[in-house]
Amino acid sequence: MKQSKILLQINTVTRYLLIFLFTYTGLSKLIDHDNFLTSLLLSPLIRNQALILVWLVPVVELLIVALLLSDKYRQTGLACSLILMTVFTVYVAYMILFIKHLPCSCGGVIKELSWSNHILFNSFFILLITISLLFATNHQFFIAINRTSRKPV
Amino acid sequence: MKKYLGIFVVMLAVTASAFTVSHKKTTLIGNSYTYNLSGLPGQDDITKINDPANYTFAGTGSLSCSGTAHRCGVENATDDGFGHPNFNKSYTPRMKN
Repeated sequence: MKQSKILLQINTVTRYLLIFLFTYTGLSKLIDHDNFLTSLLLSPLIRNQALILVWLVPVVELLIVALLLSDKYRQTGLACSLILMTVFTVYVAYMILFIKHLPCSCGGVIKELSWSNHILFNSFFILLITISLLFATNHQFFIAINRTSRKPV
Repeated sequence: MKKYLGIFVVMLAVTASAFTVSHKKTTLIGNSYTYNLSGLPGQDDITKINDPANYTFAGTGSLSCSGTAHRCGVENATDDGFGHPNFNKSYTPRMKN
């Protein structure tokens, strides 16, 4: 019982952390649009898709925020966050391993992180989201129903 | 109350971005990089982009980003329209190196 309470709290905290993170980075990329585009153009891996990604990445981040804010699509939001974070992490790992020149295309204060710290930062979020999703899948939510009125009590 | 916590977090993130993201480009007037690859201006050899020998700095000010100067130039340069940095235009300081 105590364990499930902790897991429920992790789920809630993860959701709010992701709302903050994606709102912040999404807006940063939109506000600092020119620098973001320049960074994408300097990345050998995604240079050809830069003009699409410069809008797609912040829009997807803000859409995920909308999903996380909604009660109905909360779990979908968490699943999308996991996919996006995994894609970001794979990209950062690829850049560190294979690219000599490393342009930074992240938003706001996140760009102050070193590349290895960025991997740790992303991995921490991936871990949190995975725990939240596993908890949500394995956990049954019960609603007490009044036998006579058949309404939730 | 819990219902509005999400909105509060969004507002917090908006406020944080307002204080930490540079809204305007910082033009370092008088500073510019000449970008010569293979000895010819405008050459497309991207593999030489990280070689300081291909850059000539002209200006009076100093670059306010960490790392070696030519890398600051590469990271901060605007696109020349072909996916390569244009050092004839102004650039903004960026930090990660």
